[in-house]
Formats: sequence, C-alpha cells, structure tokens
Amino acid sequence: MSVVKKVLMVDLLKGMKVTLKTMFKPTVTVHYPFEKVPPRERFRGIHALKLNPDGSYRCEACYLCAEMCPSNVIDMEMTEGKDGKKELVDFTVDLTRCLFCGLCVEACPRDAIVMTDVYEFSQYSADKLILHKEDLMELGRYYLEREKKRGRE
Amino acid sequence: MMEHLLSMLFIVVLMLVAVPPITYLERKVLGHMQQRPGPMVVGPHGVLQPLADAIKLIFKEDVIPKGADRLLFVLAPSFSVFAALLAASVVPIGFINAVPMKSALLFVMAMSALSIYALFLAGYSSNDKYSFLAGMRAAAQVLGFELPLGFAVMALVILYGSFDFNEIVKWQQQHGWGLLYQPVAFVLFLILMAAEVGRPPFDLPEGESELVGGFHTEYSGMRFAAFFFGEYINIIVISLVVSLLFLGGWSGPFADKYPVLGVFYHLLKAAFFVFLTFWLRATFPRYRFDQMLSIMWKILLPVSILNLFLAAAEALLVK
Repeated sequence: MSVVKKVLMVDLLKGMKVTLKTMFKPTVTVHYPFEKVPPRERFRGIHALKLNPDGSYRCEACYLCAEMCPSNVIDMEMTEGKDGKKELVDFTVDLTRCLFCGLCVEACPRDAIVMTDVYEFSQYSADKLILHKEDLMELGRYYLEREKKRGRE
Repeated sequence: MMEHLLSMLFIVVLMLVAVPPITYLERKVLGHMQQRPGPMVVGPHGVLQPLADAIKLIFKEDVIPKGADRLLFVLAPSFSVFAALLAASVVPIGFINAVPMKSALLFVMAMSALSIYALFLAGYSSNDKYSFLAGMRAAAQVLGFELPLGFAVMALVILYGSFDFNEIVKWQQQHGWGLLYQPVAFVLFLILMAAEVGRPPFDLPEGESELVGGFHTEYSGMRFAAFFFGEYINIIVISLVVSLLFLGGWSGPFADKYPVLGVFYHLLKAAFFVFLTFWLRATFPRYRFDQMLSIMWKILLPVSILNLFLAAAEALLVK
C-alpha cells in the first residue's frame, strides 16, 4: 500500500492541492503604510501628560514616575508657582531608552502621565526622540480627544 | 533567409520580453499560494514591479570581489543567458522555427546542460566559499539528473523515431499525444525539469538558507539579473519542449487552417508548465543534497531505464 502511495506520489499531490486551494483564498495582508490595524484599547504607545478639561496639566512634580522608571527615562524641572504649588518648567521623556513598561503610569498618584496609542514616532535624529513638556501636552490633547471618541462609542 | 532571420528575432525578443512578466507572475502566484498578495505597490496590483526591479538593478553598483577570477566572473552570467537563448533558438513555436535542425531535441538537452556550467563557473570564480560550494552542488546536480533525463528523452526518441520537433509533432498528430503513450516519461520529465532549470525542490545551487544565495552571492546589478534571465529563459524553453514532446505542441482544433492558432496553443500549453514550476516552488521544500542524489540515482534512473523497454514495445506495436 505504502509503495503504491509512493509511486503515485500521493503525499506530494496532496501538498500541491493545498497550495492550489490556498491560491484562491482571500489574502490576509494589511497594506501597512496605507492601511493600519487600530491598536488595542490598553496599548502602550508613547507618553502624554494628561490634561484637565480646562487644558492645564495635572502633574504635581512629585518625581514618583521618575523614581519608578527602570531605565531612567523621565526627568523634570520645576519651580514654585504663584500659589505656592510646584509648577513644571520642563518634563522630558527620553524615548531612546523607554521600554514602554507603563510603570510610570502605575506610579502616578494624580493620574497625570498616561500612555497614548501612538506607535509611529521614528525620527531621523536621536535628539528629536526626547519629548519635552509642550510635546507631551500636545499628546495630552490628542489623548483627551481619543478618550472622548471612545466614550461616545 | 529573411524568414529565418525574422523568426530568430521573434524568438530572441519573445524570450527576453517574456522574462519580466514571468517574474511578476511568479511572485503573484507564490504570494497568493501563501495567502498574501505579492507585489502591490508599483502600478495597479504591482504590474510595474519588474520595471522598478530593472531600474534598481541597472543603477546598482557592480562589485567584483577581491581575488575573483575576473574573466570567468564576468563571463559566467552571459554564459547563462546565451546557453539558454541557444537552446531557445532551435525550439519551434507553431510555424515559427528559427533554426530548423534535425537533432533539435539533442541540441536543447545539450544546451540546457551547458547552462549549469554558468552556475558552476560563477561559483568557482567568485572567491567565496559559499559560492564555491554552490558551484560544486551545481556540478553534482548535473551528474544526478542528466542520466535519467537522457534516458527519458531516449524513450521518446525510440517512440517517435526522430530528434526533430516537427517530426515529433507530426507523429503525435497521427497517433495521439505522447502523454498517452509515455506517462512514466512525462512524470520523470516534470521532476527532472525542476532539476534541470535549478528550481525548487531541486534548487540546491541556489540554497538561500544554507549558502547565502549560492552561486550568485557575490553578484550584483545587471550581472545578477543576467542569471535570472538565463534561469527563466530555461524555464520557458523546457516548458515549450515538454509541451512539444507530450502534449502535441501546436496541434489542436483548427490549428491546421490557422497556423497562428497553433502558436497560441503551443504557448498556452507551455504556460501551464511554467505555472507548474511556480506551483512546485510554493509547495515543496528543498531536498537535501544526498536525498537529491539518491532520488536521481536509486529511483529515477532505474525507472527511466525500464521505461525504455516500454517505449520499445510501444514503438513496435504502433508500427
């Protein structure tokens, strides 16, 4: 029996049947730069400073996120504001070192730092990968909008 | 004389023009067999991809490695193309017969065996251990497939009583397709066809995974492309020959009245075999070296020799 099978090349023909069938199946490719798979809801992309509805940031410069960070990504500068509260001068996130673990988000007591779903942030020079306060607030505005959209859905 | 020149021109132009679309079709077929669309970006459904490839290859830097045998290194790619074109020149397509030759079948076999030398020379002259190994594999592959292929061809020659393709087709028009008389030789031919043109599952000289591209590791630009021209022209020629030997070439309904229809039939039959090479490539992994040789020597060679007796008996019966 197995000799007959071998002579008639049954197994090889079976394989060829599979490839021929597959040829007429629809393709599963996503044409990436033109089409994108939407990221999952809890996807951890690059950081953002979460904003209040009035557009002010929530960060109180407690340094807990910077302490928690395993790769020393976050650094900030602050001064004393008019009302005696700490005020951010700058808040930097160094994406060249970040491993997107989300520990800074976990650590934050004021829910001030969050992660967006942005994953396309490649740049031509490494210094552009260091995000400053303005960039992070811009991302925060994007984050708010996305949250609103999600809430409506 | 004029007619010969015109048909020669036709064959050469056909072979050279047909290669880029065939590479495109191969990538498309291969892609769809793996549930992906293949080239899609350049032009609608990627039809201009061969053009983009050609532009890329033309403008690529042409590197000759240090310590390479420069003469052989430069000659090997053109050798591949010319051996393939020489084989193509004697194959009649319908009424278009560039070089009518009494021993055309023998000549085709000789030329396509020579085209393996191109791979061997390329591997030998590159001064690269991987290319060298690939060249050795190419040489050993010739030893493997030439004998069973020769015997398979001889069985057909016994049956048809001629090496001339025109005679062979005439015989088949009288007695029916060769496939009906020689199914064993047909299967042998399909297997050995892949070995002859160095295609999967017998693409040992090319082994990307173990030989870093094999014989063309050190080639770049148009010299690299020339190997592919040679390979694809060989595929077309072998497909044309198989359809001549087994499927009656240009014979078909109304082909006697309208010779152009015969050309069409012949190209259609050949297209199926070209598709078959894509299909095999998408389906089978590469055989290991010893597996290839043991298939050739232990199975295909005895089968092809036994097939000679069958052919002889058939030839007696038909007479």
